[in-house]
Amino acid sequence: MSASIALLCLQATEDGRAITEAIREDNEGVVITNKPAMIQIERAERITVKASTVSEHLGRDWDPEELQLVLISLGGQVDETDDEFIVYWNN
Amino acid sequence: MAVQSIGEYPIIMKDSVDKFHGNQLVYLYWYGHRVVSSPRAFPLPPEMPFGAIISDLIPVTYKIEPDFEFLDFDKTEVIWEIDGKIIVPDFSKSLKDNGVGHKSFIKFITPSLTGKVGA
Amino acid sequence: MSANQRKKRLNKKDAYKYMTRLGWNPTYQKEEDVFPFLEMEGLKIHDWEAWEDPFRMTMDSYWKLQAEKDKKLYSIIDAFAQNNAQKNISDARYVNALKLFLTGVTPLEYKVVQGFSHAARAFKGEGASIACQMQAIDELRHFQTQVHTMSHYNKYFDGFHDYRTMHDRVWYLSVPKSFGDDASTSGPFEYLTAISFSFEFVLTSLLFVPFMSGAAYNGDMATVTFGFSAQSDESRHMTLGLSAIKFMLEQDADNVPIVQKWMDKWLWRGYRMLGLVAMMMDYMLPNSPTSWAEAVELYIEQNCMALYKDLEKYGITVPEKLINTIVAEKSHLSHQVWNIFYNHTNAANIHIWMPDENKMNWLSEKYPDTFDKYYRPMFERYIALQEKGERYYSETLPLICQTCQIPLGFTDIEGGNPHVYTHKTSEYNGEIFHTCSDGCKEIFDAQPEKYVQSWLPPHQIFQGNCGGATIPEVLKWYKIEHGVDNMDYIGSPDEAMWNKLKNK
Repeated sequence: MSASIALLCLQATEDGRAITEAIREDNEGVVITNKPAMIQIERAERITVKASTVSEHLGRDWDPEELQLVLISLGGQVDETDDEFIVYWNN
Repeated sequence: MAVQSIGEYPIIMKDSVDKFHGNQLVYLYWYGHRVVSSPRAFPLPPEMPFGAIISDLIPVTYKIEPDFEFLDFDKTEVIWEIDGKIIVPDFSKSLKDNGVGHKSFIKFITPSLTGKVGA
Repeated sequence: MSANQRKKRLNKKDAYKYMTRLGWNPTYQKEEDVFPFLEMEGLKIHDWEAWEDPFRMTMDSYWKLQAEKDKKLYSIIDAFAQNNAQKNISDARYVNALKLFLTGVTPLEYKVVQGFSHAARAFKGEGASIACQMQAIDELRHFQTQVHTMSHYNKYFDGFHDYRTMHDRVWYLSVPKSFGDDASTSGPFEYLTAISFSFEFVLTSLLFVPFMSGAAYNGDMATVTFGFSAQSDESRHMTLGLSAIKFMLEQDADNVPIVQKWMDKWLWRGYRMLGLVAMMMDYMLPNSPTSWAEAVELYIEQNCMALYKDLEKYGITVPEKLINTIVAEKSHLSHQVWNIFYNHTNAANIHIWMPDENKMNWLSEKYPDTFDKYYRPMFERYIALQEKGERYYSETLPLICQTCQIPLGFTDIEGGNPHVYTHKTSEYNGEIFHTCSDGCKEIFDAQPEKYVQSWLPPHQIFQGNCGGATIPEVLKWYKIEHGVDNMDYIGSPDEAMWNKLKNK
């Protein structure tokens, strides 16, 4: 039985692209697909967005709650702390 | 599950027959025909002769069907169902006398005219 | 300031607790008087503190983020208008998808402002109440931004001018209207299951992705931007839906069968309403990225099943019968709904048309087992009639379903009778009631007292409540201008305007 796929869809803006690069760095096996105006991010079970990595890519302080400014859709449960935003399935 | 409410929940019959100014609702369906996108609804006097269904309602509704031109109530085999029961209607008698009540569903089936378009 | 030297502040968990846990136990009023809606649905709630909001939104971050989103969105709407970007859409036919959206979906956004406000007041737990309050404001934002986005199209295209009246009166708009009314007149827990979970979590992708990717593929930048801006709120809504469901299921094992019934009912009601989206995505978009059948495969057969799997541990089961029908119908649904609208285009505020050769070939490719066999011959015949000046418009009114309010235009695929309309009956209080399917019949039979109150447009017309007995009188009452808002796209003022614009 295949694992459930955690999903994040982000707007293809400057910030969205930087966040995507941070995700690529921190999540092995992540599959990133470019669609019109949108970046689709998929990975088995769990995607972790780390504030420190995003901040490095952006060149400024970034808070996980800012993800909402570029978030289009997600698939999975959510856990948000001061340092990370995680989308995951618990099957 | 029934309706949950705090206090009494009223029974409001939105389409009771008294609301139709002497008419009753009657539905019509030519079995198997799909150009007409659903069965149709009509407000009809209960005293209307059943024959008016053949002379008026069926042509205005179903003339768009490709096999309508072959529908001849004198020659074509037609099976009538009123509310799921096969009936042989008396066309000179009223809807009411033929067992067509408020919100009755009249289906007519023509085994030789199946409504196929193309395939 | 680097990430390592951030100013010290309260962490998210504590900030959330201090800013949201501001409730108290009433001392001089009885709790059941302060919260009168909590018992009636039969749910057992032992600990409201167990309600979690994973986003942990507090009002300060809410205002900040939402204001930022709005500023960005309105800049784009302004730019769109300034540059007359409506000229860059693929074809004027596309705009009918927006007319459908503005009259069908946008008023529902307003309806759920009321619905979530009511739920916020009804719930005792602050976590639940605050999440609902924020959602109510989100929905108001969606309503406003949709109206703003589409107001620009109203300057150039017909059918947009009175979405409020049309939503309340027009025959096919009673489908979404009754959906919203049904949810709003349920108790707060069912409401949350219906809207937050079934609609905003399970089925959201079947509504928003088709409209928004339809917009993207057809050059409608304004709608894409609105869509993405709203979708960021939707992630919070989806999370509210999932939190709500888990909360109800975890609070007491006795809640499981109640919640299961609601999930099943609202999956079905949502699916039936999404028939309008099916026809939109397959027929209204000159450039269609995805077919309805493909969307069902991805969002129902895959994603929805993954979700149910996640809930298995609570005892929730997949409603196999309903899912089987949805899957069986997927290659027929959009064509059947398009035919319903083709029959009744004379009474709609949108244009309908027969697909051109390109679109027909796309449909053949996406529906290899059904389109050429059942629908192309019918549509080619319509085109031949139209070329003779005999474009078909129905002079008669449909029998519509007592529950979903759609004409009984769906056929018996599972029974092997794809040319026969499905039809069920029930009896209540000495009167017969007609429904389109087992799904809708079950909903009626579970709560007949509710559905005998359905405001069914054809019946209301026959009762004399809709401006008159003839179609012209009813159109006037609908605020639909005959020969302008309705009828085929070919020959419409929209077409004439568009051809002139494109120098055709």
